[in-house]
Amino acid sequence: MREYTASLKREAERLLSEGRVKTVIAFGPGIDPLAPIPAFAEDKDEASDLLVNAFSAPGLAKYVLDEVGGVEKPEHSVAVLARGCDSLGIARLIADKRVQRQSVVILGVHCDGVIDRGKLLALNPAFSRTKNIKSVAIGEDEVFVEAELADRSAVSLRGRPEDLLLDKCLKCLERDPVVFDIMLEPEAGTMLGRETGPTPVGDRGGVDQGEKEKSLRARRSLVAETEALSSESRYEFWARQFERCIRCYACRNVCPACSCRKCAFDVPDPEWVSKCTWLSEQFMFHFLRAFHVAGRCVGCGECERACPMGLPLSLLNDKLMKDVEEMFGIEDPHVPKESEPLGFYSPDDPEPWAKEVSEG
Amino acid sequence: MSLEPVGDTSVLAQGRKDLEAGAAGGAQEGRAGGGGEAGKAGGAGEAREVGKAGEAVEEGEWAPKIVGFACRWCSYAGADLAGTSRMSYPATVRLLRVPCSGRVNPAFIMRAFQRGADAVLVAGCHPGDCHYTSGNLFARRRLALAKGLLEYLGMEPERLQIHWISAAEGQKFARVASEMSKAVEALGRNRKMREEI
Ligand code: SF4
Ligand code: SF4
Repeated sequence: MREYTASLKREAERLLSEGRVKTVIAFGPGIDPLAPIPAFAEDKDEASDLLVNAFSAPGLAKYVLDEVGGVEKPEHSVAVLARGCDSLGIARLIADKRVQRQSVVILGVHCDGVIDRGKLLALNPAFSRTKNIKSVAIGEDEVFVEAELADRSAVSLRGRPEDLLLDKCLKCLERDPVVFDIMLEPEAGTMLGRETGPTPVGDRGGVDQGEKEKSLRARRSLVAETEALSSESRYEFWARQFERCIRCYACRNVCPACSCRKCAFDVPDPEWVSKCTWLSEQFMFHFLRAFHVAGRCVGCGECERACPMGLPLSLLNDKLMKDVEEMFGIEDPHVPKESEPLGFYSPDDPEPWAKEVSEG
Repeated sequence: MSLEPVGDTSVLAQGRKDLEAGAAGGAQEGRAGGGGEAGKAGGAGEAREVGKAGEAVEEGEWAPKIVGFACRWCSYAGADLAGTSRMSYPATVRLLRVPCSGRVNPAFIMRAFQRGADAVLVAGCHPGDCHYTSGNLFARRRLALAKGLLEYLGMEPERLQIHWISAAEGQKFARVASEMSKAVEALGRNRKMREEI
């Protein structure tokens, strides 16, 4: 990811001082330089602490829902930093009418991928003493990270993208925002990433169709592998996955498509799925979570990233996304549209069950 | 009641009671038939350890439990017609009446499997004939995705079936019920996604 911090600060300060927005959502320094945390700037001072870099892992879309005023307080607009995946989530919230388009100012950036702190530390534990990230370059076949450690020595590492980037970035569907108001300009001269120079504003030419195809193929082949198993093995596979789930609901909390104010999973006297973690309830929970976002999932991969137990949730979402595309002919099913695939029908919709009992 | 967050929980609660009633009914029948499901809780643990012969006897007595969600305007009436015209079909299908196949939330299907159904049938009006114009067309999309997901999670395709049965198609209802029953009998008891009680 190229260096955007300077232009982010500049725009944040401007929007706040002009009174255009009450909050700017981006990243700020955490305890660990390798793990910046979401930050919410409400004045010029706070804006000067904002940053975004190649370690900014969390998605920001869902925070918009907490910060924006809603219909009652339209004056409480927010600005939010958005990479491709963030913008998909924001578009989701807008399409679901949870956020009004005019109450959010989207500060777009191009993103080449985010480094997985865990993967980096596994390859070289010395990075855990990082004081400063000195430089990062993310290319198509290679990722380079250089850091200054607490004892002032330097450490660097070169590796393949799959060994260093977040899993979700390896199957990224949109590197550029699908919706934005202002495209931030990368800083000239600091070459972080494989291109230099600003991405043209309002132009999605930056989207590399070839790369998107590659990501889609990767997602599809994982789904196809799972589909190819026998019912028995598939059941065992999912049972093994679901058994690990601790019902922390992190997957739901980060999901921009899961935005009901009151969630059926939280009610004091649950009718449909209790908080028990026995297998039957796990299947119910995971079926409901995945199905609830069927046709609305934007493929941002946040659920899988947030899951502390490493459940392959994208494997469920991607299956539904594939079916939505194949069965209902919806192009780019990850991009939010006017109406949801399950919100309308066609008289010629397929009936993939016709084979089971003879109709004659 | 003020604590209830979801508007139609009472309907959901009723649905759950209906399902439980369905399962309980099954258990009673089992007992009447000579210790099928109901017997299992008691001495069947032993009986199963008797070995292959004992197992065969137990399997022989088992009859599939199929939960059917039937639209009141067509399939439910179709089932009625099958009954009043004295067509014979296996009593393995327990029908729950719904206002439209569009009422069938995929959670109902999951819940039926949790509570012991061996298969689930969703029966509605033929596309184009919905009493509410388009309920079954929305249902068709939703069920296509839900069925795909359920199978992806490991359920056998035969265990969730969707059929369009009009009020005049008593015969089709009888055929669906017996073919489904046969298919499920061949598969045996469902243990997937089921609550162990
Ligand atoms: S289900 Fe996961 S991938 Fe889909 S929108 Fe929600 S967080 Fe993103
Ligand atoms: S984040 Fe993971 S562990 Fe937590 S509820 Fe979701 S799937 Fe389960």
